[in-house]
Amino acid sequence: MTDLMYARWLMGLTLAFHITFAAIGVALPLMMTIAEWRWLRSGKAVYRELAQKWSKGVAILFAVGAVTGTVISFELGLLWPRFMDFAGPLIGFPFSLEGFAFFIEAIFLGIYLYGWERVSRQLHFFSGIIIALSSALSGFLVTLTNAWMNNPVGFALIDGKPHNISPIVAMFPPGFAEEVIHVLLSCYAAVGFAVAGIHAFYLWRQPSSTFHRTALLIAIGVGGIAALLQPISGDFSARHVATNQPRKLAAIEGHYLTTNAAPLHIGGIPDDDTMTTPYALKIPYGLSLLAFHDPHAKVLGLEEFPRHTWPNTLLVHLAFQIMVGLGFLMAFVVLLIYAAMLRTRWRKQEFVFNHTLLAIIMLCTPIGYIALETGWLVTEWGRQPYTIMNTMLTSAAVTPMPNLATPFWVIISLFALLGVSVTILLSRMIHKGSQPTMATMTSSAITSEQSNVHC
Amino acid sequence: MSTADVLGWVLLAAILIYSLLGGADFGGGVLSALAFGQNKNEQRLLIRQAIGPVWEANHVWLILIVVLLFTCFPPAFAALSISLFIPILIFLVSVVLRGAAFAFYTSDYASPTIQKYWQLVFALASIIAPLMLGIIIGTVSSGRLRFVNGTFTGSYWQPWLGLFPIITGLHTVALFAYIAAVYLIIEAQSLDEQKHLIVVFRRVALLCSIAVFVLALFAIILAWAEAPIFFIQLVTQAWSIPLLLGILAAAIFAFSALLRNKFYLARLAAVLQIALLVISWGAAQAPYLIMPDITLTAASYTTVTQTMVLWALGLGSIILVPSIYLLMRIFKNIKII
Repeated sequence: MTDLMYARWLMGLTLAFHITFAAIGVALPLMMTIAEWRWLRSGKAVYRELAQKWSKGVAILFAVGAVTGTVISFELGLLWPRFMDFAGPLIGFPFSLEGFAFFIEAIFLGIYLYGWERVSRQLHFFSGIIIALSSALSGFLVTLTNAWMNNPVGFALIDGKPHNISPIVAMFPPGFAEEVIHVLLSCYAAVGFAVAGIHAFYLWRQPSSTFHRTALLIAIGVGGIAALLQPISGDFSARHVATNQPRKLAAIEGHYLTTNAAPLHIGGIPDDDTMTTPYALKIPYGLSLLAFHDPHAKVLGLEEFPRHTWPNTLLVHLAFQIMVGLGFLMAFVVLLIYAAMLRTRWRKQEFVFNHTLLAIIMLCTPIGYIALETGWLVTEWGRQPYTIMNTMLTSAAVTPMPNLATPFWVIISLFALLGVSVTILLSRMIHKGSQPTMATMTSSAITSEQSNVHC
Repeated sequence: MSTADVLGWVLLAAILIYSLLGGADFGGGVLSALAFGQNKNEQRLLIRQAIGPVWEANHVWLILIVVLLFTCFPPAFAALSISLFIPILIFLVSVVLRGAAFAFYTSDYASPTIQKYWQLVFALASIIAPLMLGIIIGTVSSGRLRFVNGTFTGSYWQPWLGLFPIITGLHTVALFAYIAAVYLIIEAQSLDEQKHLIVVFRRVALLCSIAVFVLALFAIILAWAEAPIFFIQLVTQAWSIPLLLGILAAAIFAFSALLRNKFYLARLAAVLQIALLVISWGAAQAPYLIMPDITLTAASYTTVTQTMVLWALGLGSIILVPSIYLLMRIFKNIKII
């Protein structure tokens, strides 16, 4: 493997790993705060217990998100110094603001986690709201950078260097709103489904557990609304890509020849050599209709672009198919659950999660995450061979440092260690029945450590 | 002063705060590794209680430093990333292991054996990270990183494996352990059942203070031999003597306050000592980001972004400063004397 490939794999795996935790950092605080809000409103202990349980998860996963995020900020320089040299002044501003959002989040997370017994209920609840808001703000600001890489604006390119830099223009490139909304919704949907799946599993085993039922309801609420909104947001995103990044759209669709009234390809295996996408289900007018809301619109094919600037059509197409397929599946499952809920309400019965529903929810545990990761791959692979669309090739951005295999294996082993440890830790945590608070935890830790001392 | 100069000082301030807060967390890890005697587990528990609520907020200063560098001085960020790839990678891995290990071993769910391993990882990573940080800082000041037309021309190993960088690395470890010990005395005062640890950390603080002094002396002598530009700037400017005397005075004051059991005064003096140290390093380093080829001005692309970042920092601190104050007021005893 070349050093460039090692750099790409390392960056890609770091981001994929980080996104897993970053998404939880965005969505779980919202769910935790909703639980606490319900506790303040109803006084029912189960909500407080739930908020505390989720906050323990937030604590561990936020820590991993923070350290992997640190890896990214360093890797930007270690692996792509020339990209950062070029883009620093253009994308650095939202990063600086993101630093603030992250800061606020870390501060209030400290207060939230360790403050159950030390601060007033109002301040505690307020901390939860701040965490939920600032993490969403972080997600917003970081995604702006990616939007800029897809649509670099705010400078004039003179002799390979950016001039007349305008950070504000660069901060809000065309399509930023579509991309940011799509990303944030995917976080809520992915985490909502993942958390719902876990609690569904326990509700199956302990059908009378109010705890897991409550958790499931909140998770389905948050994840479900996001999953229902996501196809709409996806349509906006797709139309933006169609107008602004036609090469990416062509790769996504396995669409080689420029045509009017282009059909939509569902499935299929794009073949760059024959410039066809065999085995695809073709829906007449589908692509023109979706991309431009006009059945006869002309859609540019990959033939319009020099061959060496094509992304990996097969990968981009497959990733896109998986993302869209799972996105629709999630929306469908949510409609099913909501319909079941409405039906019991009409019949004035109490809603119960029957085994069929629980089984469906459990099966859906990973799909939000798969959709999230594949969606991210679509935007990243679809931009190749450019790091900055039409401006800087990935091969021009990479570090001159040789032997990138070593840092690759070092960091990948590190992630493997973290991944395994977090999984073990979380499964222990979820298995553990009753939930000690931070305060009792600390004092029990003291007693256990003291007993260590005595023996 | 140009925008770039102002940002240079902001960068220095961020490094200073990171040393005082994040540095103390690393120092806690160092002391956790060195904990000895019958009550070493109690010492470790106190350390982890002290670090728990604040380490993530303290860690963000590092992110801020990185972001400031690549936003405002992108060529310097690129130059550092290329020329110091290896020590930065080692630093990064230690930072990650430190943070993750801390989160894992403070969680109540791991089995005692696993927790013991994480405790070990936390302690070792806490030593390696400041060692690398000090080495990076020492290398940047040594004049051994050379760039011709912005392109790095040296080897990836040789510049930072010098005696001067290694001594600055060890000095940083000692400094962080020192400040941690000074803070931990006050942590130990807060609960009755921990009061007996005051004696332990007082002794540790005194020992660290001596180590800091000896290593600082070494560092200055080595700077004279191995980092000539830095050395000349450090000792021959108008501010040189007052600042260096200030550091010495603060160090002596902190030492005697520790001896006299005036712990809040000792903390104040130790903070002042480290602050003056970082400031004099920064003043000797100015106007270079990387001696002797990359200055603040040379690494500045555009003042537009720099100005906006300054505004953002100013406005952001309106929210940030009270938030940090709140966090510290809830969890830390912030009385001054």
